[in-house]
Amino acid sequence: MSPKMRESLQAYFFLSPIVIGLLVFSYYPPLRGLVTAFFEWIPAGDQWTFIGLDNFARMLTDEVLIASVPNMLLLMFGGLIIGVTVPFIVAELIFFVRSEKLKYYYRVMLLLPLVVPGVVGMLVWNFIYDPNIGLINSLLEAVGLEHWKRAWLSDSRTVLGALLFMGFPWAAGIGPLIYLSGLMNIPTEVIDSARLDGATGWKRVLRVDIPMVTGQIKFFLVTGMIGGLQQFGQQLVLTGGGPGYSSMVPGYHMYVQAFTYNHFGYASAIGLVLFVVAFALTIVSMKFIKSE
Amino acid sequence: MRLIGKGTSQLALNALIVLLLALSIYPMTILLFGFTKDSLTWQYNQWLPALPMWFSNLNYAWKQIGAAFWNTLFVAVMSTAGGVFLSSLGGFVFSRMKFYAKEVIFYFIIALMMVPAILGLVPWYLLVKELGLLNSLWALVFTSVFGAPIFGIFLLRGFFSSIPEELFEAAKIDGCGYFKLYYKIAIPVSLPSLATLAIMQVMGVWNDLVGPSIVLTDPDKFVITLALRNFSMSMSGSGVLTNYPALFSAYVISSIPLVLLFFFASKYYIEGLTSSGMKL
Repeated sequence: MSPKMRESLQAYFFLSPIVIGLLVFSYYPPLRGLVTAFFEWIPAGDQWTFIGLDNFARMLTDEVLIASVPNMLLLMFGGLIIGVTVPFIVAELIFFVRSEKLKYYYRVMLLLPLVVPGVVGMLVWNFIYDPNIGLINSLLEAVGLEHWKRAWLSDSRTVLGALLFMGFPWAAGIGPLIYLSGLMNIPTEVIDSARLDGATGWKRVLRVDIPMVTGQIKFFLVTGMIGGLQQFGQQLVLTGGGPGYSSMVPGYHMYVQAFTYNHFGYASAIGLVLFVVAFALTIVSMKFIKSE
Repeated sequence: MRLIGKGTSQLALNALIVLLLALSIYPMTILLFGFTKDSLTWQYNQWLPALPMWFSNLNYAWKQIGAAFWNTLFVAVMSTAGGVFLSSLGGFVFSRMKFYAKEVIFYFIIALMMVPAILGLVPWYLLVKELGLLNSLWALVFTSVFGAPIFGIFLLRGFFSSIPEELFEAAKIDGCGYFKLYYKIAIPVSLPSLATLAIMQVMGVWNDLVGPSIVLTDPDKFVITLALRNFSMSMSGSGVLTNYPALFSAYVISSIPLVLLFFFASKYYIEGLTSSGMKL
């Protein structure tokens, strides 16, 4: 046996648990989803019946699903704008700080909110929005704007805005850190020569910094779009897609169809469509936004 | 416009950063102020700290979420140990061994980073059901352990490749096999990267809600996210009379492991995030 063959066998042995695990837990589910999207599940006798494109046809007349698309788009684009720009602004602010010590402390502070489980973060905001004793309504009352008081999360006019506003001013988390790592990788010579050309402050941000972090911008755009298409954590914890269907999103509709009504085939079809859209968006944005 | 240079503008800049951070962190401080209040104090003061501090809320909260706390800790420990082991072994193999079909297998693994999770959610539930793992914490452990190498190998392969070859050469001459090279040399010099991955695993488990909400229906098997959601929903039924200090105590308890984790490992985590160069 050749040495490379012997080494190969050993490598395969080391990798085998990973490959087998990935086949079962990571490859099998989405592949099976491709198939079940064309089937209907009948609880009696655990039967799967092939129904062709019926699940997809049904989506076209599913009013809840159709209503959920604009909600998702609004939350996704709002989330994208916040998720791409705010961490960049915070990173730039910290980057402009002269004291290395303060810079370090700020980076540690950025991570502080991560010590609270995400669910708790949402539940605290639920409390901030509380119609009776919440912070927002209390503040409005304190400044004499009682008539602006709302049940923010259970009013169909404000629920989407309230979901987007959660986490304001969105300054913490790993987003600024990722941008900072890009900014700190800019060679000092580049910054120095930019300064000689008169590019300081805003000019440097526009001419030097932004071009140098296009890779990070792309990362936030792509993960933000894919995440935005699929996310339904807020619905699961706070709104249940309501009031009515005013905060329903396709991902949560899929969840409810599958796990409340046992419409596994139909839910898989919704999942498949979301998957295709997310995948296409990824490819397109990888292609059109160039980075070094 | 000059943003740098002047002492006053540095002061204004720092003030702005502190303000932004303070506003972002304030919701958590509401918890810290709130969980030690008795119900009377709470009625008059919801937003600021108050004395004396009462810790009896913790007892009541622990009764609600204690079991879930241990369940989550179990899942977190198992998935972190398993996930970090598989990822580091995989990263080692891809960075330090030569074998046939290396590229193909590598892309077979990291291609999964591109697969949106939503398509697999429903079939994942069916799989768990067919494996007989409904209402079992092992469903979460397996999923998390085998999910870890997708990003983990990507992260650690890069790191292991940067270890100087001389470190390995000497040991190879002494007759060390690959597994020994892995745990005697590669592991000890890469603890910061492993810590980054470990934090990601623990945070993933501690924040996971969708998966558990599907496969765990028995309250004895609940993980922390489910228990918190349930506790909060059962409390909010009482409207204005909601015992928020007790609820906040539960929130505070649920954060303790992550606080400890960050206390000991945030340095590594920041380093790891910075050096992994997350971008596309």
